[in-house]
Amino acid sequence: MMHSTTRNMSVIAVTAALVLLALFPDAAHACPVCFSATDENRQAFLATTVFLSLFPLGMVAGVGLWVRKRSRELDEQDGSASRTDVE
Amino acid sequence: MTAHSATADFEHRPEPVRREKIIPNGVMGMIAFIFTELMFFSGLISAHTIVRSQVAGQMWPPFGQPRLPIEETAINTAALMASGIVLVLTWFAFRREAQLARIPLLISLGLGAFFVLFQGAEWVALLGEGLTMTSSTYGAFFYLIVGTHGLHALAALVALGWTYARLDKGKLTGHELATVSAFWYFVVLVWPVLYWRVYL
Repeated sequence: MMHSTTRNMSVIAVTAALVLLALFPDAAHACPVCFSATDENRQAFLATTVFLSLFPLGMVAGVGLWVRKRSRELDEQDGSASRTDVE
Repeated sequence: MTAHSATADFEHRPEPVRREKIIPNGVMGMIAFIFTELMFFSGLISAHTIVRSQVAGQMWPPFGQPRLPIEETAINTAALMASGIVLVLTWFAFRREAQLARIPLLISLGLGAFFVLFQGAEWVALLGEGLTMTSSTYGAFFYLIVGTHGLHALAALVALGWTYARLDKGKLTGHELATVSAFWYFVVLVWPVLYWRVYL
């Protein structure tokens, strides 16, 4: 009986905390551009976010493609060398 | 299997095929290092772009701060680009005959040294005009971004000097030249982006 009462109190406390948080959404600035809502600032955030997200992927993909191309070139060289040996 | 047949098998085993490395170890290490440095400069440029976009009325440079020497630095940029092109010629000369690479490597080194010294002279002039690390975010970003690039240029010049010393002794290998060249190409190619974002 005592255990059940404590549990009910916890549920009520958590619910009350969630309701309070829902009532004050402007207390936290989760969005970094909300305090400076100029077009230039929004565009700068968007451009730098896109750039910093795609740039490392592009670099890794670029090196991957280059390695594949170089590997194929070496395979072709090996193939032509072995054909010359057979002839 | 008897000991005799095992030995015979071993003796008749085909030689492993030795092929050229896809990327030499030094160049691969340098590429990884350059990746981290590119992300570092990307972070600095992004922060600069955000701060610049927050300035009221888009007034950049801020009121009361000296203007950067755009035309003079354009000449310096040309010297750095020329240094990179001459280093490409150095590579082709080295492939023909190692000692043919001496003069183009010296020219590349000289142009790089000119760039660093010119940047130093520019800094002295700007400090005299009142642009310091603490005078504004404009000054702070200028010295941080351009200074970081200058340090990289200085380190790359030391590496090029070491390369020349090895070439002079006849000990320079193609992989060593490729590794140091990759670092210098990074210094050369990242500069126009910094010039565009910081100076223009």
